[in-house]
Amino acid sequence: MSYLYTVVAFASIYAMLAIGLNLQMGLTGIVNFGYVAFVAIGAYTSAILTVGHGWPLVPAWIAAIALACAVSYPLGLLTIRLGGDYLAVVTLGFSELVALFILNERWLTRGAIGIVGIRKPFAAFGPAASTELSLLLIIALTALTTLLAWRIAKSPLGRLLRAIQANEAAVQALGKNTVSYKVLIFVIGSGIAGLAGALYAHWIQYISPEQFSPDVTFNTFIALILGGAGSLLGPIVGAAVLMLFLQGSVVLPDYVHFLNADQMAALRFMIIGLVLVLLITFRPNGIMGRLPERAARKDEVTP
Amino acid sequence: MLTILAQHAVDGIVLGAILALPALGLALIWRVQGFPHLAHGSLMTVAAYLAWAAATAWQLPLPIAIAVGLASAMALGVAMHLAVYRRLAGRPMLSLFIASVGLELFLRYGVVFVFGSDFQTFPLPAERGMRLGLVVVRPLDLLLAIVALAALAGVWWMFRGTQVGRRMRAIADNASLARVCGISPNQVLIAMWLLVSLLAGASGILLGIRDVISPTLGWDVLLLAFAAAILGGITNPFGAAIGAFLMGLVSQIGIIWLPGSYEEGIAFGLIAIVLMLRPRGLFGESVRA
Repeated sequence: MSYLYTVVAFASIYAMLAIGLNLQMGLTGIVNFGYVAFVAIGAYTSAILTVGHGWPLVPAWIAAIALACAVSYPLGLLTIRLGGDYLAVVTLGFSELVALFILNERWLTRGAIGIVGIRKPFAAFGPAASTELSLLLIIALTALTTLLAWRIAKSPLGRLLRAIQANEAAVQALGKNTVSYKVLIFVIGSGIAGLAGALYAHWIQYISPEQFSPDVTFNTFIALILGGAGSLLGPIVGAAVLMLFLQGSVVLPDYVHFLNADQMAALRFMIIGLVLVLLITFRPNGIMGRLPERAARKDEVTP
Repeated sequence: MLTILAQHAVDGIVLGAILALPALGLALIWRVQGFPHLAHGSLMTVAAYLAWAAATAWQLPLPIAIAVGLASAMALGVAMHLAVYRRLAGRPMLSLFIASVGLELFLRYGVVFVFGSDFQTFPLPAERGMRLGLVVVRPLDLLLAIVALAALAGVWWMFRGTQVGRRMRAIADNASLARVCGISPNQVLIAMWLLVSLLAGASGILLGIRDVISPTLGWDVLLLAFAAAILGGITNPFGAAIGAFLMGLVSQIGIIWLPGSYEEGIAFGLIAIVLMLRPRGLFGESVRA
C-alpha cells in the first residue's frame, strides 16, 4: 500500500513540475532546460532549514519557493533576452552549476552523503496517518497549482504571454515590455519547481545530489509533451502516464529473465527516448492533443 | 609559478583541440538547421565504444578499429538526420531540440544496454611524459592535439576550396537564396551530417584514448562544447573552434586558483559574462536592433 502511495505522490509531484514548466514552455515558449536546478534548490532549502535549523515546515516551504524565485530572477534577466535556443543551453549549464555547488559545498549540503532525517508533515499523527495526510496535502497543493496555472492562462497576463509566443515583435510594437513579462512567468514557474522540490524532500525524507540529475528535467519534458504542452490537464495526464510506465517497468524485470537488471533499466530509458522522438514527430500536441498542421515540404531547410 | 602556468596552458590547449571538433559541428548544425543538437555527445560516445569493441573484442589493429568507430558515427549521424531531423524541417526549434533529447536518451542507454556501464580503456601501453622546456607533455596528448588541429585545417580547406564546402556555407548563409541558385539542400545536408559526425566521432575516440570510455563520455563534455560554440558565436563555426581553445585555456588556468571541482563552473561563468557583453558571442554577427 505504501508503495502505491509513493507512486501517486511522485505522479502528483511530477504533475506539479509539468504545470510549472507548462507555464514557461507551453504558455510562453521559454525552453528552461535546467528545470531540475529549481527543484534541487527547493528541496535543499527546505531540508537544510528544517533539519539543520529546526524551522517549522510552512516557513521552510515558503523559503524554498522564495529562494527558487530569487535565483531564477537574475538568470531569467540574463538569458531571456537571448532567444530560445541559447536559453536551453544556458539553463542546462546553470543546472550543472547548481549540481556542482550541492556536491562540493559540504558544510551546507553535506555533499554526496546527502541529508537524512527530513521529517514528514503531520508527524504528530503517527507514521500511518502522517503518510496519508502528506499524500492528501501533495494532491491538494498540486490541485491548487493547477488552479493557479488556469487563472494565469485566463488572465490578461496569460493572453499577453500567448501573444508573445505567437509573435513577440507584434506585442513589442504595441508598446509592451515583453522581456519583463517573460521573466515574471519564468520566476513563477521556478517557484512552482521549488515547492515541488520541497514536497519531494519531505515525502522521501532523504535527499542526495544524484536525485537531482538532468533526468528529472528530461522526465518533466516528457510528461509535458506526452500530455500536450499548452493544455491545462495535459501535464497531469502526462505525469500519470509517465509514472505508470516508470513504476510498471520496475516491476516488469521479475517476469523477463533474459535481460539483467542493468539492461532492463537501460531499456526503460531507451523506450522513453524513442517515445519522445515519435511523439514530437507524429503527435507534437500530446497524446490527447490535435494532430499537427501539415508539415512543411520535406526538402525545405529550416532557416 | 611560471612552470605551473605553462603546464596548465598546455593542458588547456589539448582540451581545447579536442573540444573544438564537436563545438564546430554544433555551431554548424545550429547555424544551418537552427537548433542546439543535444544528441551530439552520443555520436562521440558511440564512436568511442565501437572503436574500442573493434580493437578488443574483434582484435582489429588500432587504425582499422578507429576507422570502424568513425564510420559508425558517420552512419549514425546521417541516419539521425534522415530518420528524424529532416522530417521535422520547418517545425519550431523546440521540436528539433526535443527530438534530439529523445535521441540522446535512446543512444546513451542503448550504449549501456549493449556495452554495460563499466568504464573501458583502449589497449594501449602506459607511457611517460616528455619534458619540453618548462612543461611535461604526454606524447599521446601531443599527437591528439596535432590530429585535432589537422582535422580543423581539413574543414577549413573543405569550406574554402571544395564545391560541397562552398555550398554548405551558401546554405548556412541564406538557405532560400541557395535553393534559387540550384543548390539541393538535401545532398548538402547529408554531406554536413557526414562531416559533423566524423568530427564528433574523432573527438570521442581521442577522448576515449586519452582517458576512459564511459556511457557519458560525450555528455560530460557536451556542455563545454556548447559553451565553446556560444562563446565563439554560434553563427560562426570557426569562431566556435577558437571558443573551444579559449574555453580550454580559461578552465585549465582557472583551476589553479579555484577548487578543481568547479572546472565546469568556470566554463559557465565565462559564457554568462560573454553573453552579457556580446549576446551573439565573440565572433558572431552583431545583433541588429
